[in-house]
Amino acid sequence: MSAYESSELEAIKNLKQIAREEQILPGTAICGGCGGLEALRLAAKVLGEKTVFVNAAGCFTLLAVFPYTPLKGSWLYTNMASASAGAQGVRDALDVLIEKGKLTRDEDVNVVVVAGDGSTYDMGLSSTSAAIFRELDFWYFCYDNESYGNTGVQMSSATPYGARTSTSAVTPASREGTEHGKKNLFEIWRAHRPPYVATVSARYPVDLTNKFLKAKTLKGPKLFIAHAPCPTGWLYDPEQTLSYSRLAVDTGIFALKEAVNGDVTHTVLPKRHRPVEEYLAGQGRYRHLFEPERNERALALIQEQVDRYWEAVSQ
Amino acid sequence: MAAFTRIAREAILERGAMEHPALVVVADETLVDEPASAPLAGRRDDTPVLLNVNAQSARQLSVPEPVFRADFTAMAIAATGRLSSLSTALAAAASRLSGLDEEHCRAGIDAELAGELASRDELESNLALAHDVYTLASDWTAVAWPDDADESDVVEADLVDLGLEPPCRAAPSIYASANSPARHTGNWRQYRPVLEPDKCNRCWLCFVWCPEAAITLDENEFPTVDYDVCKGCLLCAHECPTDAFRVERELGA
Repeated sequence: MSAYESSELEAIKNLKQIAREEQILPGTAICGGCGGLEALRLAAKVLGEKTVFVNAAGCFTLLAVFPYTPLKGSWLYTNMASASAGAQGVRDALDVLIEKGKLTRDEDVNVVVVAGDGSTYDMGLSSTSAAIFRELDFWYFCYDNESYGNTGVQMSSATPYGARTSTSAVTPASREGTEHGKKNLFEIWRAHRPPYVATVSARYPVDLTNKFLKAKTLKGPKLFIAHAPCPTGWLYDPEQTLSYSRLAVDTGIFALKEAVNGDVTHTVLPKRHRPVEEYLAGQGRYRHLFEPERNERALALIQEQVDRYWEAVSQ
Repeated sequence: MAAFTRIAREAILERGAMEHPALVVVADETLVDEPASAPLAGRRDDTPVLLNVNAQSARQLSVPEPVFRADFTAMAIAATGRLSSLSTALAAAASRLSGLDEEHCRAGIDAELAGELASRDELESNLALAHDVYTLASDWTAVAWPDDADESDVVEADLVDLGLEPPCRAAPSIYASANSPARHTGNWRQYRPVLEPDKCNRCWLCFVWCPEAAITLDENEFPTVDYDVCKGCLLCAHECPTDAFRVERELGA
C-alpha cells in the first residue's frame, strides 16, 4: 500500500512508498530501455486510473495502437500541433456533462497531454500557450528526448547544441552537428504564470512522485518536462538509460526544479557538479566532439553554459 | 511482405510492399511465427531464406528449403563484442548469397560504417566478421536473380470488396482496456535477466526503474520478471546494487 493510496497527497519519503499497482502495462511497441516511458510510468501511478491521455503524434503514439492499449482508462490521439486543444475539448465536455448532472464529480477524470519535445517545443507550443492563457485545468507531460525520435531522430528545437541528429549531421562545414541551443521551455511556460511547472527525471523517483502529488492539489495548468534518455536516438546501449539520467543531473545539464505560481525552487542540488564531458562522452550523438580529435571549443562552450546557469541560480 | 531494406538491379521506383522477393533475410527467428511480421509472405517455392537462428535454441521452425541457417548473433558477438554488428554479419551473408565477392562486400561495410564507428579497430573487427561469414558460407549457392522485371509478373490485386456498410458495422468496435500484455514483446530479447534470489536485498530499484512494468514484487518484496513481455533492455541488471541479476543469452530469440 503506497502513501498516496492510503493518505492522498502526502509527500512520500522513500521509494518503497511508490504505488505497486501499474497504470501503464507492458506489451507496447515502445523501444526497450525508453527513458520517457520510465518517467511516464511513475507519473501515471500518481495520476491513477481515472485519467484520459491526450496524445500528440510522436513516439508515445505507439503506446496505444488499435486494438491494443496499455491503459485502463482512455486515450485520445491528436495531431502534433493540437494536443492542448484536444485537452481543452475533453475538459470542456467533462465540465458540461458534470454541470448537466450526466456525470458525477466522482466520475471526473484527469486530462493529461502526453507529447514529445517535437510537438511540445515546436508545433504544439501555440495551442499550449493558448490553453495556459485560458487557465485550462489540465496536465501536460512532455517526454523530452531532444529530437523527433519516432520518425528517425530529426533535430527539434529541444535538441541541444553539439548533438548530432539525422537532420543536423556532422560535416566539414558544421563540426558541431546541431548549431543552435535548446529552447528554454521551462521559462517559456513559466512566463505564462501557470500554477505549476516542473522538471522530472526517472532517476529521482521520489522527487518525481512528490511533484505530481503536489500538482494534484492545484487547479489549472500543471506542466512537466521529463528528461527522457533515448537509446535509439542518443546512440547508447539501452541498459545505460539511468546512467545518463543520473549524469544529466550530476553534471548540472538537467536541473530538477519546480515553479509554483512562478516561484522557482531547485529540488535536487548536487553538492558539486561533475564535468559535462562525463555526460556527453559515451553517447553516440556527441562522439564527434571527442573523435577523431576533441572539439575543445564546443566542449568548453557547453560547460560554460551550464556553469553560467548555476551561477545565476546561486545568486 | 514489407521490406525494411530493398536491393534490386533495376531502379527502385516505389517502396514498401513487394510481391516476390528474390531473397528473404530474417534477422530474428522468432519473427517467423509472428503473424504481424509474416516475413515469409510472398516467398515462392524456390526463394532462398537466410535465417538467423540461435544455435542453442531447441525451437523447431518449419521453413521449407532452400534455407541457409547460421547463428549470426553468436558470430557477431564473438567477432566484435557488440550485438549491433549483427547487421554486418547479415549483410555479408546476403552479399555472399547475392553473388557479390568479398572485396566488394568489404568496400560496402567500410563505406557504411566509416562515419559511425569510433575507431579503426572497430571497423577492422566488423570486416573480420564479414570474412568469418564468407568463410562459413563458402559452399552456399548464390541466388538465381530473376530477369529484369517482367510485365507478366504484375498480378491483379486480389482484394476483398467490403462494400459500403455503415460505420457501426464496417469498423470493429473494440473497447477492451489494458490488453497490451497480450502482445508478447518477450521475443525482442537477446539477453535475459535472471534473478539470483540469494543476492537480492529487496531494495525495489529494479521494480521502480523497469520502464516496461515487466517486474512485479512478490509478497516478500522479491522481484519477478515477466518473460512474456520483458524486452531485455537489462536496465535492472545494470542498476542492481548487489548484482543479483545474472544475464544469459536468450535461447528463444
